[in-house]
Amino acid sequence: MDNGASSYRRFLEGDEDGFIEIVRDYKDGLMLYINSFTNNIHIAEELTEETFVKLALKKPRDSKKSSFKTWLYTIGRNTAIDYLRKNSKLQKIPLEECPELTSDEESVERAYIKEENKLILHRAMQCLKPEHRQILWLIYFEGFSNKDAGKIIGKSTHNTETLVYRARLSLKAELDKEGYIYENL
Amino acid sequence: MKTYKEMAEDALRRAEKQKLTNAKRKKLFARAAVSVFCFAAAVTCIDIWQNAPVSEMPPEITTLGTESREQNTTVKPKEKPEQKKVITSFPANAVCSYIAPGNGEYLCFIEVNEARKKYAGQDVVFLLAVDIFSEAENGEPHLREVSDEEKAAEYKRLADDGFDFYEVTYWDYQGEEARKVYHTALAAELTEEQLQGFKPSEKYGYTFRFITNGDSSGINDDKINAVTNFHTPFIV
Repeated sequence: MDNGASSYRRFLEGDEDGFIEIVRDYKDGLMLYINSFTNNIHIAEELTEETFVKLALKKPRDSKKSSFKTWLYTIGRNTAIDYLRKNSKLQKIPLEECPELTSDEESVERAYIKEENKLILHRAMQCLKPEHRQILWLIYFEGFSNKDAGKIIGKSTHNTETLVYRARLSLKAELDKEGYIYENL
Repeated sequence: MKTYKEMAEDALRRAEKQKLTNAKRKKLFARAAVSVFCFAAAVTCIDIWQNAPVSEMPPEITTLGTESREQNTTVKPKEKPEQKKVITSFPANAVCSYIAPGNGEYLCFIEVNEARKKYAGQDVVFLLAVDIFSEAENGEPHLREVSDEEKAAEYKRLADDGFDFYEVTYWDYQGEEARKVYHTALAAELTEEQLQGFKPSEKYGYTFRFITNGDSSGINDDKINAVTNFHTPFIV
């Protein structure tokens, strides 16, 4: 049983510290994943909190078919998609026009991604299609297997592998453009 | 950006608030469901009662309540036609405002016309208020007030012409506390043939309408007294 699951079990038994531990361990990663949908770190923060509210309110029983983290990211993804559906008509403002957004995103990014190489990778991912950005985040930064990432995004393992392959090619092309060579890609 | 502690505390607080809101909503929904059920049951009962054959209704007849009314009207118990259903109200899908009919003209309110269409060919009578208007002389566009004496004479003429008039009771809400207050009014029981063949006097205009209670329900046709002698004043 991973830490998230044991913390969640404690929370279900009435220990609020279990919930605080979950937020501590998963807040930043989940926020950056949701940011790959919203492209706005403040909205991503709100949706991350919303995901935790759902967890605290509904106290859903973990299905045990996948890890707690996979399950939490699935709830986060659904929350982000719901938000995008409801707000599809909102006007999008380019990131460059909101310097405070960029700096907030960078500070979360720096706190979560320690390695310099991965930071370069993450920034190159911003130019990819949302679908590619999302799957690469799950695989490269959260360490999910293709199978678990497939569960989160609702695709079969085979389709997920194909998506990862295409996303990798796009990322490579993007890095080439910038003159970076990333050996582990 | 929030720290993990702030986010955890906010999430727990929001979840708690949401739980309370959900509980309130559930309570409200339960109350609304009970109210809707009671209302539906009441409407069904009223519908069954209103559609019951006339012969099943109690033959209760009330007398006039005040001395002045006894002086002003001669009342005899109504002899109801056994088979005829009395239509006292009808729902209309529109709200209309009317221009008072000119002398020698008459009109039926929309709900009366709807009821006439609905019961066409059936042996029913309509219990209607007959309002009397009169245009001002010398071509002025205004209506002049028809005196009680003139009304009495005209109702008498109509009664002689075959109109059956009754005194009926209806209620409305009055005052700040919306108390139910009962009133009396004069109503004619008319068949479709009488409405079609109505001959207005050249001196007056007429409207035919249902008399309704404060909640728009039809009046109770149990408490009807037939009126044959018309004196003033008339409470319509």
